[in-house]
Amino acid sequence: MRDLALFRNLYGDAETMRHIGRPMPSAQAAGSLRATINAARNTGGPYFFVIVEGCSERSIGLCSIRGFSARTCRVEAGLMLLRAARGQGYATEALGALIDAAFQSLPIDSVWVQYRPANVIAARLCDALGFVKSQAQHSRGTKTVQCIRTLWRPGWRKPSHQPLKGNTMSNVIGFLENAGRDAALRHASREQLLLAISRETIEPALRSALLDQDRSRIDAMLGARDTMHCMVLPVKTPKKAPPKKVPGKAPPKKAPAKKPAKKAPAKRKR
Amino acid sequence: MKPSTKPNPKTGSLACVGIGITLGSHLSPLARSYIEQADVVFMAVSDGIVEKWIESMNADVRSLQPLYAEGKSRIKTYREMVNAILTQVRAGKKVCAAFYGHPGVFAWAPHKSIAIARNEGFVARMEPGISAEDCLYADLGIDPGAVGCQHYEASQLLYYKRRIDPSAYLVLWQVGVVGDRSLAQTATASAFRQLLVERLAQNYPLSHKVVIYRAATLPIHAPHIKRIALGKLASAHIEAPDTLVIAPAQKLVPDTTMLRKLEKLYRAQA
Repeated sequence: MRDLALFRNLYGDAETMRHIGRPMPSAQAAGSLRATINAARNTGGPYFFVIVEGCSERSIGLCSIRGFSARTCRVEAGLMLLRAARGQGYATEALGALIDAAFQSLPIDSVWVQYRPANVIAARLCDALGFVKSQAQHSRGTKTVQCIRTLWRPGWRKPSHQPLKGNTMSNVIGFLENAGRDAALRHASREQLLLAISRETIEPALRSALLDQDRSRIDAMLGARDTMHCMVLPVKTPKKAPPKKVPGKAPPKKAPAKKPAKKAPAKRKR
Repeated sequence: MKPSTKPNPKTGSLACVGIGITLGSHLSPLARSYIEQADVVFMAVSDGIVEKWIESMNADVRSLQPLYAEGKSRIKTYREMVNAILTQVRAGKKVCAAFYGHPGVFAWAPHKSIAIARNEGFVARMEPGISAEDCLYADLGIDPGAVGCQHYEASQLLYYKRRIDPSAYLVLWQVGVVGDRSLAQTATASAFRQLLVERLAQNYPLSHKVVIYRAATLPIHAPHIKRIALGKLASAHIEAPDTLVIAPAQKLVPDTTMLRKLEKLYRAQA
């Protein structure tokens, strides 16, 4: 039911459908969802995923991968978002995660997308993710001209997974995490880092602190703990230093006790 | 009817995981999974930014850093760590304790927590991580298999009579607090390091080059590698996370007696 409501809200909304096709009446949307679910049961897809907003757990959109074949080694990706969920970085995050999952789970060389030339937001999204422009083509069976963009596996670099909502902390942590797991960035030069940082939504002062590797400035700007204790191992110390030996001198003899001493109680083990 | 003596299965569990040294580069999929799936995550890590990173993986992440304090014995801190962790395990929670590097290398609290948890009937595991030792081999180009490698906590060389083999590598950990018998200092004075120099001079010439090493904890940083003469160690700037690496000062000495015996064995087999 939740999926059907989402489906209706997406495919029935004229504004959302303006760059895709005619909005669907409610019954048609329900039929389309059934067809989609049936098609998704095929081994080769298409694969549909619901996009859920982490903080509210609301379904805010759909994304899909379709057209996989071992021969062409490529898939088509698509994404739709509800109006209320746009402009918050969710499209970049969701499409980035989808592409990442596609490259990790399918033996493909590229992911491609298509959109109408008037869809400026889709063009910007493709630019942000690094899609390469192909020639505009007529969509199959229609007179509509579509922009075709392709993203190749070797050039793929996942953007920060944290939502870009002006949250500087998330962007910086996301950038550092990506830099840590990306062989092209882990030992990058200052120029390469500068290029990578410029793609992220990070304020200039913090960018500069990151590039200068100025730990105290980074900590201060992020509100991170600056004094850290790293030791987790105690060293056993001998209880007492051994008595100093004086060569040539015999230890003084104790005077014999008049009475045999009482046996001392056993010492407790510490 | 006799009541069953079989104890009820306990629901709490503990996983001590290593997050590696470099943010984003070393965290294993399994360690991440433990962090993400835990009810409560405790962390003892190297950087404030790394804390922020771990916090992004689970809603309930608790730093163990507040348990440290200047002038407070670290053994007390470590006991409090164990107590904090086990309190949650005993409350039936799925607990993950994330430590920087490897949770079982130069780390008392994880071993102790696991031992107590198992003794009380809880499931407790340790999952390895990439340690500073691993980074050291990679960054300094050392293969411990070539001539052997000795590892000691630096203070042990002052407290106990240890045998050093100068034909193998020597790695001394926690050299920044060498000689701190109180376990309450975050750094010891140069006079303490001078005692270490005195001890090492029994096996190495003072002109012998040693390396002060610190692995990179952020992916935008390079490891800290400084080469100095052993005789300059006391006056060198050394911080708590630094490690001292001493290359062999002698060549391997052949054991002629054993070699002769081996030769006899070979001949007998021929």
